[in-house]
Amino acid sequence: MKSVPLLLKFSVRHLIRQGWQTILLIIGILLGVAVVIAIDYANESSKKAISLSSQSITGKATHQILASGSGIPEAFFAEMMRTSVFKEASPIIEGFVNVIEFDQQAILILGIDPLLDFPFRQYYGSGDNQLSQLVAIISEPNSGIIAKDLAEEYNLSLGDEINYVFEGKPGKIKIVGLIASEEPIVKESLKGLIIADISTAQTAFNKIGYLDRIELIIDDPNQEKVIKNKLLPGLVIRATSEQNTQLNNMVAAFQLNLTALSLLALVVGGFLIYNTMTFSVIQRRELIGLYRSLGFYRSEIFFMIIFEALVIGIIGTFLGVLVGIFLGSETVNLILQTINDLYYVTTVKSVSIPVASVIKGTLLGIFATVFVSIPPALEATQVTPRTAKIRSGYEEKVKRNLLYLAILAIILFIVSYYLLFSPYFQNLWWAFGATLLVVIGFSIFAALGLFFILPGLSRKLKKYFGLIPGMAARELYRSLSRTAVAVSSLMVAVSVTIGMAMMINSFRYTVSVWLQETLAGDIYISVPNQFSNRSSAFIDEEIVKNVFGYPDIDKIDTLLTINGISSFGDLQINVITNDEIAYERIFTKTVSPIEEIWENLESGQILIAEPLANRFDLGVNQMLALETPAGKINFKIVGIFSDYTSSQGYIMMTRSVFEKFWDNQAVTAISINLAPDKDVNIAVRELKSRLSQKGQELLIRSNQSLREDVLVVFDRTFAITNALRFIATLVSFIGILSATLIILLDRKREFGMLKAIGFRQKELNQLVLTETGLMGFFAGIFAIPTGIVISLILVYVINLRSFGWTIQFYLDFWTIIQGVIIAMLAAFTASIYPLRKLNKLKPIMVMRDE
Amino acid sequence: MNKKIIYFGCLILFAVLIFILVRGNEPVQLNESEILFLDDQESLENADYKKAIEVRGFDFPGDLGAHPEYLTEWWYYTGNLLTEDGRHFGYQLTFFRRAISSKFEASSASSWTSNQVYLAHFAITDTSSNQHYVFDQISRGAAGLAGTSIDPLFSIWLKDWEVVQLEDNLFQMKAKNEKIEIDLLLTDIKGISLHGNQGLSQKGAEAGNASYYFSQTRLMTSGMIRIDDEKFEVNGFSWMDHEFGTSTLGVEQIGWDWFSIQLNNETEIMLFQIRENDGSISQFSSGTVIYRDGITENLEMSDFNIEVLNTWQSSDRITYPGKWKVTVDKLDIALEIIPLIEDQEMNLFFRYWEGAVQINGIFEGKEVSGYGFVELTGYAQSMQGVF
Repeated sequence: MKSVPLLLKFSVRHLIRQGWQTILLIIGILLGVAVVIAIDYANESSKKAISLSSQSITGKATHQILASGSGIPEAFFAEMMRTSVFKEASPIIEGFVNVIEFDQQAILILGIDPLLDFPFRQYYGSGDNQLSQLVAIISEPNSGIIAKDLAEEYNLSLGDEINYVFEGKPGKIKIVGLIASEEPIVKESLKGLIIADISTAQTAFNKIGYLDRIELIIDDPNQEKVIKNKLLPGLVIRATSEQNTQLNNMVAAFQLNLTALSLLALVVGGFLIYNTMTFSVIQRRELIGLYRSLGFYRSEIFFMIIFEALVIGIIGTFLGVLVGIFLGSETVNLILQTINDLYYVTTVKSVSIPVASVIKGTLLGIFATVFVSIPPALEATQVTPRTAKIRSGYEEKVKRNLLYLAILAIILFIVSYYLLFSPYFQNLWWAFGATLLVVIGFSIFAALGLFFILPGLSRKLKKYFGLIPGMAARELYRSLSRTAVAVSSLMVAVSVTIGMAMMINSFRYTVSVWLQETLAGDIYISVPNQFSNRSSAFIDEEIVKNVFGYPDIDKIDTLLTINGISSFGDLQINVITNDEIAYERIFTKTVSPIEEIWENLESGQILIAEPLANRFDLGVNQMLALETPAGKINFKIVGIFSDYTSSQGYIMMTRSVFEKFWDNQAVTAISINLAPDKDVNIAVRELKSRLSQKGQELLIRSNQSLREDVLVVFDRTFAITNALRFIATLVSFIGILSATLIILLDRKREFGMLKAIGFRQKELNQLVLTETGLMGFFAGIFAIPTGIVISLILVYVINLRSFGWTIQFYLDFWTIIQGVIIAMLAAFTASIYPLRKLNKLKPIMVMRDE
Repeated sequence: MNKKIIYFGCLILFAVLIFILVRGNEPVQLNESEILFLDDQESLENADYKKAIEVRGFDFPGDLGAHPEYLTEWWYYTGNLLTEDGRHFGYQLTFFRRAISSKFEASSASSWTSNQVYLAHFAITDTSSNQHYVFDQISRGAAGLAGTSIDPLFSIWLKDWEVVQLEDNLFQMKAKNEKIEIDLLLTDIKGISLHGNQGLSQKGAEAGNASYYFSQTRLMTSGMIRIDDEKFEVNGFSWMDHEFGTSTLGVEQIGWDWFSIQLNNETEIMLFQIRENDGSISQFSSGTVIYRDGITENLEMSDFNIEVLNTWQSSDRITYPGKWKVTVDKLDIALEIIPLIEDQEMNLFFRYWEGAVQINGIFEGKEVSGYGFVELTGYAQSMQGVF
């Protein structure tokens, strides 16, 4: 055992001597780790931002009372307080506003009654003095309290007024209090808040007579039942924990996807490390044989290789952590933007670096490096002093093993098929696991493919292109142990980038086709708010009337988007007047012919969006129960339609049915079809000037510009996926570079020999370029089916399961060609350095050793 | 390699993993928050409240209701009740109203807009088990949560505590929480008595250092008291004080000692003495005797004497008087007043002592006994600025 330090010294020296190889390895690990950490960091931060944002909303409440499709009548609250049904209760009116002084940042105005809310939130501190001061906001209309940090950041002080825009309408709040807190969490969540009196909020948000929510602190389980029995129809009581779970579930699938994709980058990195370590062992067979003949144990050789991996792993991981933190901080905003677009308005932006992410990434990086080095390390222990010199022995063994590998690959395919389609494995992780197995299976097939193709190819090349190309192919075949590993690793790397790109393209293609079908109006009017394309802000009644009075209209329809509550939790309800809806949606399932759908809807049935159907396993003809002010009502589902606006899905109901149960005539969007000879752009301009002085900011968009806006959000959503794909491509490029480099450098002696027997420099170049070109080519070619399968899994299994969207698969040839080009380009680039070295090579220098 | 090293390595890794897992659930410790407020609240001098300066007429039940144009107002219900077998309970249910801004205009359509805050104190003295239960509630005087009504009859409420006038002389009182509850019917036997100069009760030298003050001094009471899960049928008498004003106390005045005395000869006495900063008694201290037929007689400061016979100290060393001898020489009154239990302190948003007392002595030469309530303010904190 005393010899171990000596061996470790050998291996460190080996790493230093192999400068390029080591650096490339480190970069590979660095990128893998950086991506994992960046995504994990960004995910954790966004999770925290969500929980802080919601914490600032829910406070210490154990339960909440919510209304389905309208507000809570405020008289109900007073009634419950006066009859002792509520003990600790706080009524809330809230709304997101954009504050001009805060650079248009979205911020929540939390309208509370300080006297009732005092026990609910930790912001107020304690002490009766605070309370008696807080009371002042009751009697001063349009006053509010903000965080001291926020005020300092924007140079505001007590007594200043801030201007905000709520649902397109301006408003003012006078700052009468500044909250300072030492607690970092409270500090952060306070930054997204303006605390105002409930009367101020009710007036500002035009919710006179209603409440948005009632928060409760209940410690007696019986009390919940008592309250439940007293609730008006259309109201529900829900535990806060349940509310948060709903919120987290919404975002979970999205985040899991990112995590899995980031791990895919690590897998790619792992393949490359495996590849390089295997080479490094093969390269040193003689040396290892020598160590063995000197009397080192097998176990010592094993640990030597592992030690090397560990050294590289630690260096690569350390650098990866640094890069990862940097990338992560850039990514947080991207992820938050997407979450804001799709799910939930977060008002908290900056979050500190989660230590857990860094530790996770570090362990993962080091473990992965060591783990993938185990097979080459074991291989190294097989080297005996006697076999060390004979490479052919190794090659023979590899070829014998091919059969077993083929069987293994088939087993992997079967297992992954099972994982993907069995109802027992619905969790997303299984699907990602299956993807990994498929990839490994394909990499084995790539090796097999080489084994069968190369001999024939060699003959063909010799016949049509001459001796040297043929020789190059045979050379690859002869050293299959190395070429196969290299080609299949490269193949994996390239296939991942192809698969991801193809998934994104399919998705984008599907969405743009769907937009064309769905957006049948010429002009759309809505109120800008935090959700980019899903406004739930009401348009002023007067404006609606005005729009209806616009001449040259062929057809005009209104939409009301509102939040309802079903037995499955919160649901979006879209209330429509468009009687041609059935012709403007792509149905995945319907009960009746398209012509009869409107009739069915008018008779009280509903349509649901596909993600909703998938989320709760709902089918046509089934009933969906909704809480309404008229009690719980069952609605029959008459059809399921494709939709990509949210991963939550929604219900579609006609206005006349809605108004039977709800007392709400509001409108959130208007769509207009112009008379046939009218110009859309002129109409948009006219409507804009017509409505500009009405006191409410509006989004008036033509069909074309709305479609573009939707695609902008789409591209934003996939910005990270694209970035991940780019990094995976970079990793694979580096991998191909290093693998090719090693193979060529390893064969220095062979090339010297060829030179000695009369190969001209040009011929040698031709040989090397053909070899690397072929490797890149095969990696690219094998990556095509693998990439297609990966994207099929992403499209039909993973996306469907995590977002509920059925995407039309779109085979994009440019993506495929791109993959092959990347592979070949990398291979050629890799040959530049060895070729320059070879050109300087003096045959005598290599021959001397023989 | 040494196996021990491997084990050791595994152990460290395991420890690191545990660390990560545990760290994720780190409990959040919260420090105090502090709010800095804009100091633009009106001072009392600038405020635009009405003051109790001149004698005014009263109209009932209208004037039982709130007078929001004055800064403060209260409705004080106290009473001594007995079960059939003689178990004694004292109770207090008080509603306070305070305006928080005089420049308020109800311009907003929101029913939550208000410049009125209501506060209520609810206490029960359980003499036989030597317990005193104290609770309070607070609310804005809006949105149906707290307020008064006089249409057509008087009612006052704060959340689920309320007093509702059922008929001309009949009132129902309800207040409850998990610990205690009262549900009482109060019949006004004597009607309303005005204190001071026709209801204008001067408290200090300056004009406006006064309040409008009237009482229902003999409310025959019956109903139920609950403590935890135990209910008691009770009967007895209650007393209601209604007072409103703006700058009631003078600058040098720190508190008062107030006595409501209900004697078994169907006579009641109200007395208060205001204590000055220097420990002396204000000359504006006064009282009222309400005779059997409802006729009242005012008492000046020089007409009566209150001698403290004993003191009681709270656990944090605040000393209150604990036993008194009250004499009114011109009416041949000499009464000894003893708290039914010592600790009847109301340690709430503002701190004072308010408790049921037992009374024995002589009235116009004849032996009398009775019950009453005593209120002691300004011992723990000055009442200046609070009222």
